[in-house]
Order: sequence, then C-alpha cells, then structure tokens
Amino acid sequence: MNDCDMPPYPELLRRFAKAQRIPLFAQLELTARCNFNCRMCYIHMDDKHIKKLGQELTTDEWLRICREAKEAGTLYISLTGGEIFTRPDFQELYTKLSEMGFLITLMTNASMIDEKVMSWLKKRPPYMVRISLYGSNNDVYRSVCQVENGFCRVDKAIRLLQEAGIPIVLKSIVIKNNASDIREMYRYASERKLNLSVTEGIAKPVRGASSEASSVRFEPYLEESKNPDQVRLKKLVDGHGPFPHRPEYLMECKPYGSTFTVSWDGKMSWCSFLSNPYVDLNNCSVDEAWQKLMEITSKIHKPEACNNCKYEEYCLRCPGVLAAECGSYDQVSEDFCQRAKRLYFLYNGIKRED
Amino acid sequence: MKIKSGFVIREIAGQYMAVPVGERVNDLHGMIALNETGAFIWNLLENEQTEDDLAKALIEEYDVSYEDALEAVKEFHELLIREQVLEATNT
Repeated sequence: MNDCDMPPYPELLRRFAKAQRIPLFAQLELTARCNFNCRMCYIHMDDKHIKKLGQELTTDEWLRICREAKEAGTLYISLTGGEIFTRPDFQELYTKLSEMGFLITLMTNASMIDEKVMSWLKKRPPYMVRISLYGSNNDVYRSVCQVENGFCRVDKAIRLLQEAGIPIVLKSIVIKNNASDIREMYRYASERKLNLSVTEGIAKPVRGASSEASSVRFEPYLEESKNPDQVRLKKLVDGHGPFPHRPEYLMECKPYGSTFTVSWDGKMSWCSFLSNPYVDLNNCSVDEAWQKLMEITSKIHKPEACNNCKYEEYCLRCPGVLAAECGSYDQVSEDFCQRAKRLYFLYNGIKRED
Repeated sequence: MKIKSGFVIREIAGQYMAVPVGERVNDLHGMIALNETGAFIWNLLENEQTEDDLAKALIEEYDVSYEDALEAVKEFHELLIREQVLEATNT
C-alpha cells in the first residue's frame, strides 16, 4: 500500500478501533430539555415529563463517565441533547472536559450562544460546533421550532463563532414546514462559507418523548406525483438507494463497534434511537458497560421479513431507525416497508423515462 | 527544547497522538499523530532537553546506535518546529 492508498488518519483510527471494539466515539446526551420545541424532535421532553421517567445525571456523574471513557479509549466526544446550553452547569462541565484530552464536538441549535458564552468558550474552543439549522428566516423557525426570533439568534451565534475561528458544520432536517426554504438555507450557508448537509430522515420519538414527526415528515416520493419540482427538491436532499446488498445487519451501522451513546439518565447504548438493549451506567463502569453491550448486541439480527426482500436495496432501515419507526431493531411494519416499495417504483420509473 | 504546555498524549488502538487541550486548541485544531518513538520523545520534552539528551535516552530505551537515534531526533525536532509546538527559546 502506498501513501496514496492510505485513508486519512482519523478514518484509519476509526477502522482500528472498530476492529478491536474500542469505543473511540461517545455521544453524551446531557439533557432532553430544550429551549426550542421542534415539531419533529425525537427526544425533546419538558421537566415534568423527565422527572416522571428518571433523573438527569449530575455534573460529577458525567465527569466520572468521561474519565472512564478516556481510560476505555474514547477520543471523540459529542455533547448533545435536547439543547446542551440549557444545562446550568454546562460551562463547568465543558471546562473540565476540555482539559481531559478529547476532541469535543458541541451539537446545538446555537440560539443560546451569545457574547457571554463566547467569553469563556473561545478561551478553550471545541474541536467543532455542529449546528442544527432549521430555516433561513424567523418565520420558518417559528413554524418548525415554535420560537420567536430563532433565526436571528442562530445567525448571531454563527457570526460570533466564526469571528472566534471555531469550526462549524451546519446540519438541517427537512420537514413539510421548511421544505420550500431549502434553497434559501443553502444560499445562507454559502454566504457564510459553511457546509450544509440536509436530510429528511426523521424518526418517531423515542424513549418516552412525543412529537409531530409522523404528520410533518417530508416524503414527496411517497406521493404518486411526478411533479418535476418535487423530484428536483428531493434530489437536493440526501439521495436514496439503491444500497448494495447488506448481508451483515450490524455492519450496516458504521458507528457500531466503535461508538456508544449515553442517555440523559445514564443508559449506555450504541445509538440514541435505541431504547434497548442498554446497560445502566449508574451500576457499573464505562468499560464494564461497553463489554456487556458488545456481548449483548453481537446477537442482533435483521428482521426475518427482510430476508430475500425484493425492495431491500431501496430500504432506509438500520437498527436505530427500525427501533424508532417500528418499535424494535428486529421488527418492520407495513408502513415502513411501503417506503422502500415506493422508492423502488419511483427510481425505476425515472430510469425508464431516461 | 521543550514542548509547550497544553497537550495530552493518548494511546488508542495501538496508535499514539498528542491532543491539544484547553487554550492550546486555539493553536492547533485536531491532533498530531505520533508513533511509539515520537510519543516517547514527546513525553521527555515536558522537561527541557537537547538533541543529545534525547538521542541518549533513545539508545537506552531502544536497540539503536547513537547516530541513528540522533538522526531520528533531528527529524522529529524539525516536525515539532513545523507544527509550532515547542516553547520559544532565548537563543
């Protein structure tokens, strides 16, 4: 193998970690609370609901988990929610994490990043800030996130982060309420010289949360319309299939084997969409939980209904999506399978016309 | 020569890397990949060292000649200068 064949170092590291089952990546869901109320959010809960279901981990509990994660080989940590800046202890938690030797990504709606936050954040900047962008103006933010002045707050935060030289990636989820705004969102990202990736892949709420995901989902390809605008719009978002044949169910999941997530109440899984299997970190160390999780999940197999399925190449399933959409990682539903069938006919229909 | 403060050496999946922490992230975005020898030298550079000091430390730790060790140290020294991770000197 010569230098030209070598993947970039982070990818090499990821492959080594996955082969050796080392938890290189950790996604820490610090809270399910949020200052937005996005219609399609899979996890957002209010305080009352959270208290019924469990208890958020304390600062010291998160720090214990992170120290143990470091010992277990974690390098990349993503801090997510809900909205991480709603935690009153976030500055303290982040400051201590930033000294430990991780590459930290903040996953945020950015609306709470102001001059006061920047005064401490820019002194110990994160590796990256991943911002969920929901629209290109306040009206769209009101429609998607049910907040006032949303875009202005986010735009201000983006400018502050850029002035401080902190790397930003923009991600957007498309639903019916912002589908017509996609082009403007791309224009905004281009003006700010930022990358924007867009997906319409939303999931039903998980782990006790509730949302309007089913009614706001944007799936123009499920309609029989051959409206060219809808097809072009669809091509603006992540492309669909055909996917190559996937014999190993777990291998469909790129994070599996090198990633764990920890929920706001301390449960370790490998995907934030999965309610189970999980291991409770309140009762054991990160390394013990990881080993147990790898042992339990090694037995996971794809739903029997998927064996020899004609539409598999167009199916957007993965264990997490099936858990969110169909109730379990090893189940499918007629509703879910319809999407793959529709995509199969849509793509084959377009090919014939070409 | 001496390494600037604000780096943590990590060893993961048999690979070594120097990760900037705290305010040092302002100077280096990402991490510096090291091999085992590089990590060994990096740890020594938490204290002031000369190239001769490092070469002698290498021959004690590894089965190499002084000349080979010194050449490796010089190469590594150039890398550290390029990455701007050494403290400024008064010379």
